[in-house]
Amino acid sequence: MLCRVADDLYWMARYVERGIAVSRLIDVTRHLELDVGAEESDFWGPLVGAIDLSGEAVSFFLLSDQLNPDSLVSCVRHARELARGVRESISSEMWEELNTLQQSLALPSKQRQAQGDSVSFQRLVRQRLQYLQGLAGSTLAHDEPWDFLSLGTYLERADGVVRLLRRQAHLLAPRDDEDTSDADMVRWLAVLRSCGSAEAYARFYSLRVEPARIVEFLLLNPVFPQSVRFALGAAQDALSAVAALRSAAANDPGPAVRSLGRVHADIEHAAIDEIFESGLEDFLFGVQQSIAQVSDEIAATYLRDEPEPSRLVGVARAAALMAAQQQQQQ
Amino acid sequence: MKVRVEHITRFDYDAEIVESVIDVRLGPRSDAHQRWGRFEIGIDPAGAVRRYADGLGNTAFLVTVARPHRHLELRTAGEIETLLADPFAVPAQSPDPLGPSALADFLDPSRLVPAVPELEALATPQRPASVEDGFPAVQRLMHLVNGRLQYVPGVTTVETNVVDVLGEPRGVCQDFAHLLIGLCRAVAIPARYVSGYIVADASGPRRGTGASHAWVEAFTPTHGWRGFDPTNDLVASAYHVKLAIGRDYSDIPPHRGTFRGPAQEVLSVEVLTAVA
Amino acid sequence: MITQRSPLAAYDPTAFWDEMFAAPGVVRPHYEALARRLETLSADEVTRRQRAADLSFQARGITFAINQGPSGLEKIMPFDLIPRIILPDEWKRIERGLEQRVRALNLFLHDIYHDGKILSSGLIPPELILGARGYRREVRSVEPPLGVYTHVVGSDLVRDHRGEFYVLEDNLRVPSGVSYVVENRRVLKRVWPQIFADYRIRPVEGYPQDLLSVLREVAPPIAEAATVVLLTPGVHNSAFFEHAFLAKAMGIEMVQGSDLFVDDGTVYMRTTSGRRRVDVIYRRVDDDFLDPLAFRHDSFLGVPGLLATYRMGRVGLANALGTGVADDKAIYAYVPTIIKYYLGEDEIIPNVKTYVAADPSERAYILEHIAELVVKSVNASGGYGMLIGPHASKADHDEYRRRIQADPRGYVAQPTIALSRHPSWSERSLEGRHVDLRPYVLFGKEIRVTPGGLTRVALRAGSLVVNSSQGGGAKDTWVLG
Repeated sequence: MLCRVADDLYWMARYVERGIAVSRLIDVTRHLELDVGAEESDFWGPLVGAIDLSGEAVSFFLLSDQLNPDSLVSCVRHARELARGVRESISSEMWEELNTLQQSLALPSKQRQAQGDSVSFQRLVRQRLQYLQGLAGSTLAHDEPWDFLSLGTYLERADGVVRLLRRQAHLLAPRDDEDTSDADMVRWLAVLRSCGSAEAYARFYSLRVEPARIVEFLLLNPVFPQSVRFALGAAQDALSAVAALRSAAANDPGPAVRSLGRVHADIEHAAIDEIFESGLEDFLFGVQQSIAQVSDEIAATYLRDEPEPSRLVGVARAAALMAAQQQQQQ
Repeated sequence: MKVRVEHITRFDYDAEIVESVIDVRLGPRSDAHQRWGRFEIGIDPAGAVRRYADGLGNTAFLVTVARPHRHLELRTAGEIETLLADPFAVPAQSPDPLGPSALADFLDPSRLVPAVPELEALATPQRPASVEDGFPAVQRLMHLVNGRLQYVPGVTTVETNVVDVLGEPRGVCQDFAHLLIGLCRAVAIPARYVSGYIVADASGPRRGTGASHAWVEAFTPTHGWRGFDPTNDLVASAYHVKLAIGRDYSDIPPHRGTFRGPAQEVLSVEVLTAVA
Repeated sequence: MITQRSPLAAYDPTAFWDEMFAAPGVVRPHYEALARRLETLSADEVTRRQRAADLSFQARGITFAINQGPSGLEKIMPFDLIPRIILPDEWKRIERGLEQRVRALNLFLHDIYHDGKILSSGLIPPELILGARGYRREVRSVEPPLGVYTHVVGSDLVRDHRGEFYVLEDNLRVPSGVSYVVENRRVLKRVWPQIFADYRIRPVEGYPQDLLSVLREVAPPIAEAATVVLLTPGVHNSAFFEHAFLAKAMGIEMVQGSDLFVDDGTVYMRTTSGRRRVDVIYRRVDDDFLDPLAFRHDSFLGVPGLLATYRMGRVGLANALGTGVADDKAIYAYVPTIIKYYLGEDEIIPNVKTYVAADPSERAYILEHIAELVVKSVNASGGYGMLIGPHASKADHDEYRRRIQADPRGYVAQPTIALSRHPSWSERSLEGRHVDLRPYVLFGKEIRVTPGGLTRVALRAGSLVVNSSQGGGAKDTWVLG
């Protein structure tokens, strides 16, 4: 499989997963606002690391701002652009789904809906992205292209959950006073919902909403697909399959496999009490660093490894030139 | 005359690079005026050297080094017997006239030698008066180039064309050669670019030793293809060793290549020539 | 036979050769079954099917890019539901004519890159050949496998007011459009299966497999199980959809220049399991951009060292380098001469009379009669760089006169041909629209002409320009078996 194609599939999957996560975040924050009351507290600002921003502004930024590369519409656009370049490597069903989704987002009626009824808009887009993930599983052979899609999906998910936990770590830190207000409960539940995990959590912990249990569930649960441990395990499976094709004979599976194995093992063998004891924020920061390192190593080994092209014969990167070069047809 | 040559080209990079691909034209080339005996080509670090013939009949090599490296050294060495003792002598057999392909190749404008009115204006007074006047006419044009241009290294580049040289009459052997080619073509004398060496010898020509050199071959009905070296203002002789011929420099640079990596390149060249 | 209510009743087939009607109300025999089907349908129903077809193209992303560049728009090629039908005998002649033409042009290419006999023959001015922009000194003396230069050819045929077929131009470099031949058939079958019941139509679905066989046949002898790839300029190329379509249908990798590299006289692609050798490149990138070491130094679309590897005979290129000289519009004028010279035969499908501006007397004729002629730039394609004399203003005539005088080698002119028309669905009725036909010819061990081809239709009333970049559409084309 071409490195460029693997690269595009990997990033396509990451953007789809990122779109789903962004959408959930907006959804949950809207609900939080309704539950607690907008004047009660600022929920939106922290989502984008800013204060004094209106909910409308942040919601627009996350939902439909074309200039924000990680907004929901940008994620869909990126994913579709990438899919277009590797359309021979994905199923027609996947391409048609993503293509029609992107086209519908460009319609004026949809853009109005994004402004007016953002809740149902983002829910609809999220459902279609989740449908796309399902389509990938059922219409693609589970071989190399699929492995790179899985790798992208699960690394993005692990990274996203860790990011979210870091952002909320101050809320989840153990406190001296035992009184938990209703507002706290609502916030904690919101963290779970942001990861699409409230119902599953209820099954495991029968509604005893406690910060430590939430963190344990989202970080360490071995069977729930939104947990960091599960996602890293799935990413590891995909990476092992890819690595086996490359170095069947070699003893050394490569740096990416080693690094991912290490961070997965750390999480697998971690206990929540120890994590809180030694500091949740530090632990999360370490995991996030490790995931970033794994991503870099995957890129260097398998993906489009492009150092700056430096050519003796001269380099020009003007857009006009590119256009001229591509404008060849008969 | 037997001549020995050694040519070392070295590329140094300030960072690791991969996938060097270099197209090389450094001989060997044998024709009526020279016979290559021994020819060697080698590179460091280890890589691949593949020989092929280009569309103009020159020997070329494709050198590739895929693995990471920080320098690439290319060494060629050879022994040549040069046969043109008297470059003025009319050959025993009168040369066959050029076919339509060769005429188009060496009369039509080329990348670095476009046809411009200034060339025609300069060349017309020297136009051959008769069939026999072809060879002397090229000599006159050669004197004209040598008198008009000043030899100044470093002011022109591999992209400098004949129009630039007309405007700013300074340059190196390549620019001298392009101007002479343009003048010859302007008066319908087929002319081509020659890359090669000048043999270092006390009695030989001076300019161009210690590096690769360039001059012109012009076709006249009396002499066929003969070399004219406008940089030294003399007719090419047994002291001139040819590597490749082309319509102009851009057809046959000694090396042209690409690599991948965020590095700056430093090039150094060393040429040793000697009468054996 | 045709009732008053039918959509066919109002159709006016006069003034041009009409593919479907011999006279008002008189359908040609091979279109009768189709006419009966059309009569049973209301305009609403046709419109509904038309919409279904458009949606199908849109959803499948069967698009071409206009406004080149990263922000380029994608459009679907407008599809007209009414198929064009070609009789077996008509087709046989087209097939033989194209085979003759392609064979002669390949002999011509081999000759001009080797001995150059025709250059000294006095039949074609040598400077026309050697000075053509598509002539490549870089491929002189290369022996392409099987002596084939043009593995894929798309020649444009037109029909005049008497129904006579002519070759309007040959596309010997990287002809595009064949994906529409396959897709148009697929979509028409989906939205209007009923009309297929009355005819025995030769299939076109086999094209990708035929192409793959040809590509395997021209692998360099050193390759055992040849690895074939398709080289695309990238997603911004107007024919990107086609590149992806063909790669997928052939089951081969679609690569970009940056996916390939040369090492030790071998072209490799970068894969997730390391480098993998490539034997044949079906390249959809023009000569100029194929190798920055040899051609345009600023190209990002090619592979450094590719030309050298090709000259070593260690990689196959389809089409070969340097074929552009043979579809130069000035050389086109000499194709009948070329057929005669190499095959000793008269051409089966005639050329359109062509005046070459490089010739002084023909230039004089062009300058005088410019208002009656179609003037074409020899190096442009896609309907660009063209003057249609009768439809152009006085100022345009003068502008082209000036251009021709400044660059005679750059222009040719042809009499305006009254292109045949075909009923096409326009809003709520059938209207006559001008059409051409681009069949596709594959050349490996033998020559195969795909039965059908792309019928392009100028959807704007009165327009003679069928190019998709200029508002043209396409029809499914049926060759009866």
